[in-house]
Formats: sequence, C-alpha cells, structure tokens
Amino acid sequence: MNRERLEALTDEALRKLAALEGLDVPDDVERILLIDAILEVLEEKQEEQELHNNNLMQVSQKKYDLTLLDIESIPEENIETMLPVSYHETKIQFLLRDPYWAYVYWDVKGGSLSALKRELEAEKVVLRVLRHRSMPKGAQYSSSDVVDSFDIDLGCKDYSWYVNLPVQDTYYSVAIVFTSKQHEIIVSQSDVQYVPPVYSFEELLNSSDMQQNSLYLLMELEKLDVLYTKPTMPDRLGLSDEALQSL
Amino acid sequence: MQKGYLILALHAHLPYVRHLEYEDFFEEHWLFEAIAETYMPLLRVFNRLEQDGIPWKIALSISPTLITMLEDGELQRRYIRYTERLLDLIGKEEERTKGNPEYKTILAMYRDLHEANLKEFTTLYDQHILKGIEYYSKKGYIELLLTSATHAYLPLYSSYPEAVHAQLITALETMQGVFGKTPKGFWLPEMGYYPGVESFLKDIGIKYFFTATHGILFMKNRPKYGIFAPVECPNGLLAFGRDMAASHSVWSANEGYPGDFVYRDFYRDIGLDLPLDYIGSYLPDGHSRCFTGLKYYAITGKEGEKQLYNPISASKKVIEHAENFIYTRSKVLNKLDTLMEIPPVFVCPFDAELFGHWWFEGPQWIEALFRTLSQQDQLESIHPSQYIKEYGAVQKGQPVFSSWGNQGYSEVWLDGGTDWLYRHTHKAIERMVDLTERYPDEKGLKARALNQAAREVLLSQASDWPFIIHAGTTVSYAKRRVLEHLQNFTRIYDALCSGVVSTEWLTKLEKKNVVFPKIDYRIFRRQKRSH
Repeated sequence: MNRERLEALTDEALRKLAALEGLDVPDDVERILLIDAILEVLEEKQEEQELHNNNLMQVSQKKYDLTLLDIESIPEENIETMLPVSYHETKIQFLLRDPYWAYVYWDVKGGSLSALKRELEAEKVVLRVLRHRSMPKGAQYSSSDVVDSFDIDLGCKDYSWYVNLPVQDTYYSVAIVFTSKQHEIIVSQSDVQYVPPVYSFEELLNSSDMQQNSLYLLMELEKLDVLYTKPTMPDRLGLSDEALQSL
Repeated sequence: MQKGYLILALHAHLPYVRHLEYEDFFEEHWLFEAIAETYMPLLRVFNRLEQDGIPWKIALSISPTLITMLEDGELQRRYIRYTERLLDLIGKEEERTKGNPEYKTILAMYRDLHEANLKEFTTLYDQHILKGIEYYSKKGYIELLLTSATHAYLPLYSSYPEAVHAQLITALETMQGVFGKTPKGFWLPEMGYYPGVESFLKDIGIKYFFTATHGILFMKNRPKYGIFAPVECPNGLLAFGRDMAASHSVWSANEGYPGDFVYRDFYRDIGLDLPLDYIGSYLPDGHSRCFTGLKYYAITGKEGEKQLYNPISASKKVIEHAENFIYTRSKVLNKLDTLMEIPPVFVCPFDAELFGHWWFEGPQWIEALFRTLSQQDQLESIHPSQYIKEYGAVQKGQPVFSSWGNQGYSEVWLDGGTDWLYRHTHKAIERMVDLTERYPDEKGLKARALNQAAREVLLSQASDWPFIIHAGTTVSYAKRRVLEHLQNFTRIYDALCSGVVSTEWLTKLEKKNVVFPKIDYRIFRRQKRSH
C-alpha cells in the first residue's frame, strides 16, 4: 500500500481502513493527514512483521499474498470464542516453544479451577514447573529425580501460561497443584520434555580440535537465526524468581 | 582439488483450498499462481535440460494436499479458466499500451508464458502436471520426498503419536496412489524436528530427512563435519543439515540474488495500480483489489520511481548469479580440501514457490545453475540417497528440537495469536482415537462419517493456518478454516455418539472437503507411547 493507492481511495474507504488499523480518527480530520496517519501505521506494521519473521519466513508468506491489503475484508472475527472454553476433563499439556519458553494449557473437570479449589478445600492453585535429572523410563517420574521446581500462582480464570525455562539442556514437566496448609494435591501433570541446549557462535567455534574450528568457520555461523538470549516475551508470562531477576 | 556435491531440495506445498461453492474464490488463486509461475516453468526447465543432455538432480517434495489439488478435475478446469481470463487481460493490455515498445516486450513475455502454460497443461499433460514430475522421477532426475499429509508442524503434535502416525500414513498412501512409489526421504514441514519423530519415519520405510542447521550443530556430540555430511541418528536414519550459508544467497530479499534491482518486482501489479472500472472484471469478486500476475516493473531500488522490467537484462543477471553461487561454493570446497576425508555435501532446501512466484526469474536461475555446473567438474548435483549409498554416515548423534522458522524453533506456529488452537486440535485427536476404539470395524454410513472425521482432524492441523495468522496476511480465512474443520469434526463426533448421522449433511461435506478420498479412519488407532 503506497501513498498513490491511498490517494485513489474515497474518504469513506480511507476511514474504513483507518478503523481497521485501529486509528481513532476525528470526523473533521483533513484527508492528507488521514493518509499520513494510515501510511505510518502500515509502515510500523510492516517493520514489526519483518522483525518477527526471518528471510525465509518472509519469502514463504509470499505464496499466500494476493494483495497488499484487503480493505474489503470482514473485520476479524473473534473465532477463538466460538470454540468451547472447557472440555470438562482434567489435563495439562506442555508445548515447548523454544529452549526458553513453554506454552502450557490445562483444563479441569467442571470447567473451573475455582469450583475444584472449593471442592478440594485448597487455599490456592499453582502451576508447578519441575526440572528433572533425566527422562523417566515409564509414564511416572520419581520425586527423587526432580532437581528443582518453582510455582506460579494461578488465578481461577487462568487456563494457559507461557512459562520461562531458566535452564537448558535439561528436562522439564509441569503440574497443576492445589495447596493448603495441610496438604498438596496434584490434579494433573504433563509429560517430561527435553529442553535442548543453545550454543553461541563463539561456543561452536571453541573446540579443542582446531581443524574442526576451521571447518565450522566455513559454515558462516554468524548467519544462524537462532534465539540465543533475552527472547521476545509472549503475552502471558510465568517466571521463576531467578528469571524475573535476570530480566 | 576437493570434489563436492550439491543437494537441491525443493518443497512444493499449498494448503487444501477448494471452494466450489463460489464461482471464483480468492484463495484458490494461490494454486493457480503457483501452477502458472512455478510448476509449469519448472517443468519447462526440466525439459530443456533433458533435451540438451545437461545432467541435473533435484530432491522434490510435493505435499499431499497439493497433490490432491493438482489431481482435482474441478480445480484443473478453474486453472484453465484463470489462464484464459489472464490471456484476455493481456490482450486488453496490449491494446491499452499500444505504441510503447517496452510494454510490448513485457506483455509478449507474459503472453508466451501463459500460452505455453495453457497448451502444455491441456495437451502435453492432459491437465495432470504430476505426469511430468513422474516422468522425470522415472528418468532418475528427480528423487521424490514424502512430507506430512496436511503439512502439520510435527513438534507441536509430539505428544500425540496417533496424529503423527496418521499424518505419515495418509501422506504415504497419497504418494503411492499417484506415483506408485515409497519415497526414501522425508521433508519435515518447516524443518520442524523433535527427537523421536525419526521412529515414525523409520516405521514407514524412510531412510533420511532434512533438519535446520542447528538441529545438527547443537547436538551433544558436536559433529566433526558439521552440516557438510549427514548425521546418523541412534535408530539408523540419516539427517541432512541445511547449509544456511549456501541457501542464504537465494532466500534473502535484501542481500540475496532475488533482491537484485533488475529482477521483476513482486508487488507492483496492475490489479493494484489500474482503475477499478478497467480491471474490476478480472478480480475474483469484481472489486477487491488483488494481484493479477501482470507486473511491469523491475525492483529498481527502495526509493524513487520504478523502472520498467527488462526481461533480457534479467536473464543476463540470472547467469551471473548462478555462476556466483557455484563460485562461492567452490571457494568453500577448496578450503575444505584438507579438512574432510569424504566429499562434502551442500544441502540447499527451498520452498519451490520461491522460484517463479516470488522470484520470477527463479526457474531460469535453476536452469542456469545446472548448465553452469555441467561446465565444471568440482561441484556436482546429487540425490540424497545416492550420497548415502556412496559415502554413508561418518558422524553419529541425536539431532535436537529445531525448525527453520524465525529464531529457529516454534514461535511462528505458537504465539499469542495462535496458541488457542492447539487445545482444540489436540482434543479432536483424542476424540478421533476414542472413535477408532469405539468403532473398530465399521462399514457403510458410519465408516463414511468416521473417514470424514479423520479428514477434518487432519485438515485442522495444517501448519499454514497458524503461519498465516502469525504473518497477518489472510487471517480471517485461516481462523475460519481451523474453526470449520474443528466444528465439522465435532458435529460428526456428536452424531456418532448419539447414533444419528445426517446422510444429506455428510454427503455435502464429503463433496466439499474431498481430500484423501481413500482415507481409512483406523489410521488414528491408539499408538504406543514408546516412540
């Protein structure tokens, strides 16, 4: 979308486009100022898109590009809300997003953490993030295998979290735990997953084998598009104290 | 002088988009543009190389959803109509720009392209362009690769072995149905690898797959030869790591070849530029502006007025870029001379649609690449299975979770805008597995309902939907597709649970989402969790 194209649009179409882009436009705004404002928003949007996509992804998305902007498109529907909030079962799922973040979602019978909290006479409900020494052989892990853990307090309306994983090259799982002064009840726990290590460019070139270092240099590792540190933070965060301090 | 090999691996994929309920559907143009600008031009490149006796080898993955669409009679007819309309528009444009020799040259190029497409599509291939692929596969030029059925991004389904199994079996059956072959190699959608997926691949006879660069480099035992040789996984499958440096020059819009100022600009299209009362009848709904495929400008530069495209200058640049690619690889080969005991391999995987659709001159570049390769003997193209046969695996290890997406993992398919969908696609898998246990041996109407349920579950898993939502292109469409498939599945599930299946509704749905016609719902049978 360029200035030339915007100038070809009617005032009504420009206003519609501005609204689609989230601009709050006064009724008496001059046409030229409206075009400037739209262009600015579109440029920011474009820059943001480029920031969140590497070269490869930017090229891949071209096959779905048929237009620069479909101004006639139906305003985005909130489709997420057209699907069930709960399936009335107790489960927790741990999805590794990258070596620093996992997405965790859960569901409970009855559909509400608060109802279950009352039923279990618990004081609070937490998402427990457990670090393991190794991958368990069977479905269950032993408590002696847990190296470390931290809890994230959950609100009764929460149904998912992004969890920061402070350590790499290790194993993690998560569990929904109801706690009171007297007891703890684990209502659901996830599979254990391996979180891979991340090596920097320097680490990869730091072998005691000089021949291997020479070979690795030829791979132009500076072009490696990998998340190293300080990842972009997803919308909903669950941080350990250690992670909070490091931010 | 060190000799080395090049694996050029192309992945052709589009999600299943077929909307016969509309006279002309916007998103179906994804397919028509890909046929017109990528698949047909590539087939012509293959033909010219063969005619001229130029050796060439490509590993090619064609996704099962794309295979189904390319074989679909209705979509074939719609592609012909699309081309005829485009030729009509070209005629109108020839009239409008009469007297301008530069436009004449560009329009002649488009006329030649689309007339050749139409002729070959209808006459040479009898509307089945996969016949062309099959021909070159039988001749030993193309090594076919398998990929998952609906292009599910597998790391986000790693806790659901039934889903991974169903994706692979459906893909294999589709591939065998069309090509009569069981491929040896696998293209992991988006190079999304998680440890353990190779067990499923081995179960269906796969011998090797491709990973992102760091999938290999971040292994605990750092591979001696890095990505210049494949790695043998503990279960015996081989993983080829992507050579990022080699592919960067082709992928990068800013630093890579496709961004050269003489190449055709992707964005300036007459569908966006010309008045609506002139162009409207060539747009899918008559008034929403979109690409027509007629683009007259060269990239030119970031600032200032665009120059008209000159096909001759672009063709000359293509040869320079092919030579540069081989020159830079040869320089690396020379440096590897004392560092490796076996010939290195450069693995260059690309989306096929990059060539032609986005980088208009891309097919010419592939042709120039093989022609230039044939004039020297240091670098040679090879199929992955041939390399494995000759040199085996000299390094062993367990690849790690990785993808070729932004920042190397899953954020493109799992972010604040898409995380909601996995709760529901996962639930659909669990319910589908339950259905196979409840109805282990159904026939008739119930079996039809179960088979359609399996199709809907698979279609909901396409990586394209979260990708499009993340990219912010046709977001509403992608969201609606996820919703549609989940709702269709749930309706069948509820109907089976209540024992009442509406034949009329089911028949309508079977006609609409007709992908994988021979699917057997039992592919979702419960799997052991040992993988």
